[in-house]
Amino acid sequence: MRKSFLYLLVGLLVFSGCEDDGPQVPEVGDGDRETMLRSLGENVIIPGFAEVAQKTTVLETAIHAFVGAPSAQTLDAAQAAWIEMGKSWKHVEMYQQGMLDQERPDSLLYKIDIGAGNPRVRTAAVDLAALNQAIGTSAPITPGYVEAMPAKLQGIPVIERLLFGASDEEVLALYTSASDAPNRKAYLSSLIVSLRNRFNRVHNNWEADGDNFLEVFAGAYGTDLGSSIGMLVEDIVALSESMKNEKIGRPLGMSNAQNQQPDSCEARLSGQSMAFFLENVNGIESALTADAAGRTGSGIDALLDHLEAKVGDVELSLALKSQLEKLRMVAAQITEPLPQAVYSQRTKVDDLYRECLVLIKLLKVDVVTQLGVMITTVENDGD
Amino acid sequence: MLLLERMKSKLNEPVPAHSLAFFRVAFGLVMLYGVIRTYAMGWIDQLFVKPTFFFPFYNFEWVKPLPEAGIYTVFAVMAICAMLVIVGFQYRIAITAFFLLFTYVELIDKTNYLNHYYLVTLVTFLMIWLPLNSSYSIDARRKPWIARTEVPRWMLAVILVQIGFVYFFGGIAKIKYEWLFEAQPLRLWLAANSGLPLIGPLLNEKWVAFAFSWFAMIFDLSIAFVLCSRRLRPYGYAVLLTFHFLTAQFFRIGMFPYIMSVSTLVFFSPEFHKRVLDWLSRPMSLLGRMGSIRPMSQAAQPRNYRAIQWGIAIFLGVQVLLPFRYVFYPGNVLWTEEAYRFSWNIMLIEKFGHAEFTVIDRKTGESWIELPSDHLTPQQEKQMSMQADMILQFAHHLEDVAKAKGHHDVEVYADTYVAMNGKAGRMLVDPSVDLTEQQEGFAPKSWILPFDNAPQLALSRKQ
Repeated sequence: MRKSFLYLLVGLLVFSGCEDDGPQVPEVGDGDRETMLRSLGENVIIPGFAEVAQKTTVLETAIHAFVGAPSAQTLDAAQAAWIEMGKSWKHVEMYQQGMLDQERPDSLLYKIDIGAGNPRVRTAAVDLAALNQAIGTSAPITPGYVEAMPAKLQGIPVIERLLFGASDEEVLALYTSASDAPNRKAYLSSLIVSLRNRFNRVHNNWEADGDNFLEVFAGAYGTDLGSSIGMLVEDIVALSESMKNEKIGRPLGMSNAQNQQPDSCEARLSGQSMAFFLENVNGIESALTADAAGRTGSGIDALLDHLEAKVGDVELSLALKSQLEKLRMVAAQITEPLPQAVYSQRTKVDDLYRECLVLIKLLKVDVVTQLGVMITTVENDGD
Repeated sequence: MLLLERMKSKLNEPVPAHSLAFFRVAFGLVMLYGVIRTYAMGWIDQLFVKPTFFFPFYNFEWVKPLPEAGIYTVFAVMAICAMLVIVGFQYRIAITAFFLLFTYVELIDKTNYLNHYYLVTLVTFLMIWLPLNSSYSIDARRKPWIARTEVPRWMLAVILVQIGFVYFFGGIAKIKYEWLFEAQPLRLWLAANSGLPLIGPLLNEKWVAFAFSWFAMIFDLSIAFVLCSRRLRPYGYAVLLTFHFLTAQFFRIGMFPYIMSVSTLVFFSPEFHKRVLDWLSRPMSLLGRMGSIRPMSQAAQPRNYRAIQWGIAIFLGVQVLLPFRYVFYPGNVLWTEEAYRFSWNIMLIEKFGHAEFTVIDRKTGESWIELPSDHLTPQQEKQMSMQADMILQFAHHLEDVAKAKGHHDVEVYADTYVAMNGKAGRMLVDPSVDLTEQQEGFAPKSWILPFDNAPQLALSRKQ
């Protein structure tokens, strides 16, 4: 035993002798991480969900006006309100924490199990036949009826499908002269009531005068599995992968021998594919910096700076910001709506795909490594 | 020569057979717990039923997973075998079946490889050839002619050596720059526990990570010898328990601390083993004490006794060589992971990776991206994206998938990005190499980029 202690002592002496030559990496303390989480919650997440809830209420008012008196003007107003609400949602889409279980957004995000046990965000077009069947019911259509429907027949994309079409005239006809117009109105009204209730609940869950989830969020400031920062990074990675694979890659046909699939563009009917994509980019930037709408916070970038994290000779925080900026610049080169651009501006959309991949590498590999967070989603049994 | 003779006679000295029986019961309990745990955690489904593609070991590609009912049956039979081993009923059949089934399960998919699974395979193989049922067993009661009060010392010694190897070679593997002078990956892992009450803040301290790293290396190198000393054993075991308790708390290393804490009890005195067995067998009178006193003598030895001795010597000898085979491969073994498995490289690396693949049809020029998540479970994808041999296997799988879709002549390229032990990410695999042209084998993989020269992302400071 004495020998062991002697070895230990010698080891520690050797270590202390080597300390000056060893890597001098600054530490990030619990306090820094808690500050970051609180800052992100207060500056970005809570105001973000407040905005979604408020814009959903605006959309609800617009939809009620539209179903009450369908006209080109009320339809226009409802469409504009949907776009505004959609953009605000894209800003906070990634935050799975603080979602109540019943809001875990199968219906909002299209989380689909693709077979190998991999749930993945998918931007598939709404199944119109199934939607028309749900609308054609003889049962009373209420928010309860809508919420009992499968995920693919609820949520933001389905509202888009009901408000947008090949032309406004065609959409109006569905709410005026079509035989199922009353049911369609009831379905649309029920959808928005359900959505507004959901977003209110999520927002209330975060607010200090509600369920105050912020305290739980900021309180789990460790880096272990299940910590807030680990789940946050995982959420950011998941969104960036869905942006590359589903929102850009799938329409481009990247996994489909380059055969374009424009129908799989997110928000295709409303023409907001790129606008929503850019709002996702803004959302990731806010998640990394904890800055939003004039509010300045201390985000993951500050932690990375504190750690002096670098990729090559570039600070990792700077590399992330410049990569997000690059996405915006490359996206700005795409001048046509995405469903058309995948044909006419293929090279530019392809560039956007490649830049998304760089962002994923930085987030999924470098940020995770530097922050030392555990994001394994799989239980394992050792080493 | 004299030394050899003395060693030989020492190894043939009789020692109480109940030490072997103790190990049989102790390890059997661990085996049973491990099988039940795998079932209870839902891992049978997750690891053997859900995947649509598996990563077999080189030269064991013929090992195929059974369908769902079959694989559950395998685990059920393993649980029954473990119980039979514990009570020592039809011991030789039970331990042989357990070894074969366990090894089969381990060979199905190397993304599941763990050092302690390898240990279970080795130990159960060893157990086949030793008379662990010669006392405190139903077999010994039913067949008095196999009962023994004593066995030659070497039978116990090989078990001690097998357990000792795990620590000793685990310690040798820790003599690496990253472990000793960067305290990696312990710095990452300890810091991940900084939320713990009381000691949490300490775990963020750099000196704590260094102290842990050095202590772990010294502990691993010395503990087997310490446990051999009657005087030091109680202290050594107390340190061992503390060490394994801490590693179980801080790191996600599953069964390993428990297996080792239980297995190392075999280093204790025969009196201790007897006391434990008597206490355990009190409620199970069937086990009882052994039958007639018949110390194993040269005359009583089975015909293949000498062959077994030689076989076990070779078995242990190979294990001495395996951890050093990495010297035949260029580059940092932690990065390339060539000759990394079966070498007691425990807790030496933390890696994060991303990989995706481009497939090109040579004839038509068509190309497309293959995302691993479309083919693999999250666990498989995580392991594959940072281990070159699995990247190669997956590339060949993608070639097969393409062929099945009518693309008979394709090239597959991997775009990989991996970070190791807190360092910035870089390419693992040469992206210009068509992996369909590369074959798995024991030769070094020239298409793995060396850690120090692997390209990193080309980024600018410009915003």
